Amino acid sequence: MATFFWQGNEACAYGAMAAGARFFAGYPISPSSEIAELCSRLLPEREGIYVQMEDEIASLAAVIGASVGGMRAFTATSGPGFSLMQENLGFAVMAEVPCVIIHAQRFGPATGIATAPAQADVMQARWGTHGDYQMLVLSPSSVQECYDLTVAAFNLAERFRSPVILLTDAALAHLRETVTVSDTPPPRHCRPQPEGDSALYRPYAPGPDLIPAMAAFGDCYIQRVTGLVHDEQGYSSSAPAVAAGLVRRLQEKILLYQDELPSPVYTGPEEPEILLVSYGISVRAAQAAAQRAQAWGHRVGCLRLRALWPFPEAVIGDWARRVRAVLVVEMNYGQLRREVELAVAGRCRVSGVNRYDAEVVTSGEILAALTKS
Amino acid sequence: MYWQVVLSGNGGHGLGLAGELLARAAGLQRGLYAVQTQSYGARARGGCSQSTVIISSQEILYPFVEQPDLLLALSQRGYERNYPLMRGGLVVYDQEAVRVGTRGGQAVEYKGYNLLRAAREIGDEIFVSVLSLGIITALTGKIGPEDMEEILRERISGPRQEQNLAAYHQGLATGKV
Repeated sequence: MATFFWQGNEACAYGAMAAGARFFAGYPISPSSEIAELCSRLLPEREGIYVQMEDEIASLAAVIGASVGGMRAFTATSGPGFSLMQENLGFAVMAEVPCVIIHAQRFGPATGIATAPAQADVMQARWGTHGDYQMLVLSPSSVQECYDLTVAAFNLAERFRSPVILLTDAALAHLRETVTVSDTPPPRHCRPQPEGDSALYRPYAPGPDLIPAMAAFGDCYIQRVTGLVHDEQGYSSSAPAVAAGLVRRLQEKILLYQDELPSPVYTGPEEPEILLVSYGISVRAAQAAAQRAQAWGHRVGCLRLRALWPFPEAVIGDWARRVRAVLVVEMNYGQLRREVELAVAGRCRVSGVNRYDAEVVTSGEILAALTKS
Repeated sequence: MYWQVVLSGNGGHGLGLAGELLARAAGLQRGLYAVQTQSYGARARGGCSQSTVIISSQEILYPFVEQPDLLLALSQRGYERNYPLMRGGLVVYDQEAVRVGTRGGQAVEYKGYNLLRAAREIGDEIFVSVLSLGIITALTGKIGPEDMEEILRERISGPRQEQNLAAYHQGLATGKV
């Protein structure tokens, strides 16, 4: 075991190295810039490649290219850059290219406040690119989790042949905390490789768990990469059956195995009366508020979401049967609260503690909301 | 112990580094937890810059300062933003940059120095943060000077190391007076 005193951004960069990432292409942007800066040093030291691109469109394009070439590749950005990446994000979904996008959220819309935190891109992460698809989105709430969930993000990307988004924010990105790192490298999940006669390789034929084997450019298998609707050979098609089959598989390859994602973590009394649901940096205020409320004799628990998408609907639904009220703590006008309401389906009361003034939510605000619940 | 520190001033004062040094020096002590944050505007020089540190004998759930016990104020804005949050503790401020006309709670102690001028005399205004760390360690006794020196040597290399150590020692001497 080794301990480090890292910033959230640093923990993401070191997590990527531990996960075996050897290609970064990006365009530095506050508050994610330290990731690019650190990678420009760490990658050449590891015979990896760092490319500073002309913009974020090109950044994700280069990452997709590197991944198709067989590398574990990633980028880091913030709101304006993430907006530019949406088109290629959809391409990575369609062509089933494993890659990781670290998105340190800042206050928006538009240029917003470049160095101030928000959690307002939760829906953009889910629905930002067009079409019918699932997105894998993780949300760390400590610097330790920045490291751990970055490692998890790379493995999930390979496991599901999908882009994975790690959502942090300006406050977590610039927070320094102690991180413990195991001496043994983390387990690595690798994309399924094709076997046998190269003439028979069908790059989009579903293998086990609906995931097609993925050849790398340059090996003996012909890998067709396209954003068009395609058949199992990778040839474009407009046949309704092909389109429906592809969309269904892209959905189900993730939805059927959703339980492989990091599950929500509950802390608090066994039989809580009120449940705080939170994610990212807001969790820290929620946990502090729950602890204070417990000290005063109130049964308040905290559910920390580590994967936001696909949304852990079943877990929330179960909790809704056991508590009197759910409070969703987030730094936006109420994005995930609607999702919680859908999962709760009227079984208990749902309200929000929302902060959207570029400051981190405090435990005092949550306690004030608790007294009204 | 639950000690909340705010280092506030302008971009270019080296406050991010100073906060990191303070937290890491505390982390060298057995059984202490430390976290550090930094926030700043979009400019590399100038504009508000602030770094906060919490040092605690228990695990830190909420890593942001709510009620500072110590405020380093190198700019008027940094002072104005933070002194209303204080219920006690110590304000260390630059006498030229900050006018403490309105003061925090009665239990708050004030110590003014010519911090920025002293840093310029060492060679660069950026030394002001490490010089201030010397004063803070001397005044509060919360961090061992040897721990701070160890972290300074580890974190800062090259010709700037000696200048920073000199700034730190000057701060220590000033704080002890």
